[in-house]
Amino acid sequence: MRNEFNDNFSAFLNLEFTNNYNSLNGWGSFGIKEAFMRYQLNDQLIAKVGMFIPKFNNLYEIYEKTPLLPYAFRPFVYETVLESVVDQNDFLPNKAFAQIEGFVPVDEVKLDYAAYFGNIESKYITSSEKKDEITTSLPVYGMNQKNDLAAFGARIGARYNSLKVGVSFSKDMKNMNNFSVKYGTAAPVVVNFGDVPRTKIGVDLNVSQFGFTLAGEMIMTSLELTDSKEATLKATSKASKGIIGEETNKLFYFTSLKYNISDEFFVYGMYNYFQDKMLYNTQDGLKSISGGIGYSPLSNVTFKAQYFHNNSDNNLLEYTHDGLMIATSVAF
Amino acid sequence: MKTIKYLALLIIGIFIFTNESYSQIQIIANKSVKESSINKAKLKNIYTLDTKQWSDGGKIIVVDQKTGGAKEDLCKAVGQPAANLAQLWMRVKLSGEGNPPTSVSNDDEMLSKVASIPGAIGYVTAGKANASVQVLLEIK
Repeated sequence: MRNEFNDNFSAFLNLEFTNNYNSLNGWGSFGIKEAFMRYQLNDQLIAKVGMFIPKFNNLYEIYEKTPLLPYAFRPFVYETVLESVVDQNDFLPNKAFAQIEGFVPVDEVKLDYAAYFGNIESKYITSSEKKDEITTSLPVYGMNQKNDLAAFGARIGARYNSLKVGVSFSKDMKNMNNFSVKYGTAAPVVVNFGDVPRTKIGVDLNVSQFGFTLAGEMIMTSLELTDSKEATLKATSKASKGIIGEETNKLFYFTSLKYNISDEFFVYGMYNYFQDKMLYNTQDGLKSISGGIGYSPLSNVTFKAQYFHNNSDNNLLEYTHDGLMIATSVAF
Repeated sequence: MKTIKYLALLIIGIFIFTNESYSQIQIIANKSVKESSINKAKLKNIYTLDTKQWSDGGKIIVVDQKTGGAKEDLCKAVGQPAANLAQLWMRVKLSGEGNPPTSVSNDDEMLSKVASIPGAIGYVTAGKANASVQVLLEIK
């Protein structure tokens, strides 16, 4: 819901209601996704305050707005059904509460910029409740005593006709108080590193021509451990025989190519890759190849079907999963 | 031989004097808009909903046609396929950044809409603009 108070000032509220049963949300959930006030002085300066998705990579801004996506099964870090395998906090910024943005026109090219200030990962808020929860491959976090942490980030980009490119940056803290990884029936492997600075760098590209749309992104995440913590991690990794890795870097990328057969029909193929060197089940990478079709009988209704093949090869866990996902997106 | 020469000159002459170059679409605006002309870059920024205000601070009301030759010519001028533009407008709407353009069915409805809404901008097939609107740009 959007309301314009005058030519410069507006407010927006985005509510989400999920009505399907799943083990996390029971019979459904209802929540505020975004709520912000927006002031536009001119094209070069726009300010937003409230709770909203900050500027960071092209797909991040719209991954929860499924009518805008051709995919039924989104790329790994954007797909919420994979939250037990892929920790979104390691790749995507949390909601922001203040941002400035705008663009500078240079002939027909638009140079974009944005800078924001926002929330740290939600595990700082809920970690005390999850202290005793132990799930295979899902890291467990202990209570954080600090409440003065925040995140910040920025994006610069360029647009020319249908070409859009950008580089994004985000810095926050990762909660590694009692960070543990469980494998099978063995006791969990635990490291206690406290609050660890985390840096995310993203790159995105989108271009359309002759009915084709090429989209791609990469996100690299690194944790800043002190020398003593790195030594502790290496020793723990050795003792655990690789259940917890000795490196903390994380990598994600995807690329997709979509073709509009007509105004109503489209087809696409996608490849995506995810790697978290700290976790045994993703140290050697998790890959996915998928293909899908879509049909839009109306501009705001899209029926989608996507077949995917996910697999991962490593010594401790061989994983292969094939699936077909069908979805309908409606915008109103 | 002379007859053929004169005939050829006559044909060439007729061709030169009658072969006018026609613009494909005319970008029109409400008469309240202070700007008397815009360039292609500004047209792109307006139809991608990046620019939301005229130079005097007045709000830009964007009007679009649902389908048709004029729509195709506008998409070429803006450098975006129609499907991309539709996606872009939906993205702006779902992100709370603005409102998508108002849609009309044809040139006559476009003229009527643009003439009646202060700050409105639209487009019509070349030659269709009348005294009720001002022409800001002709796309050839």
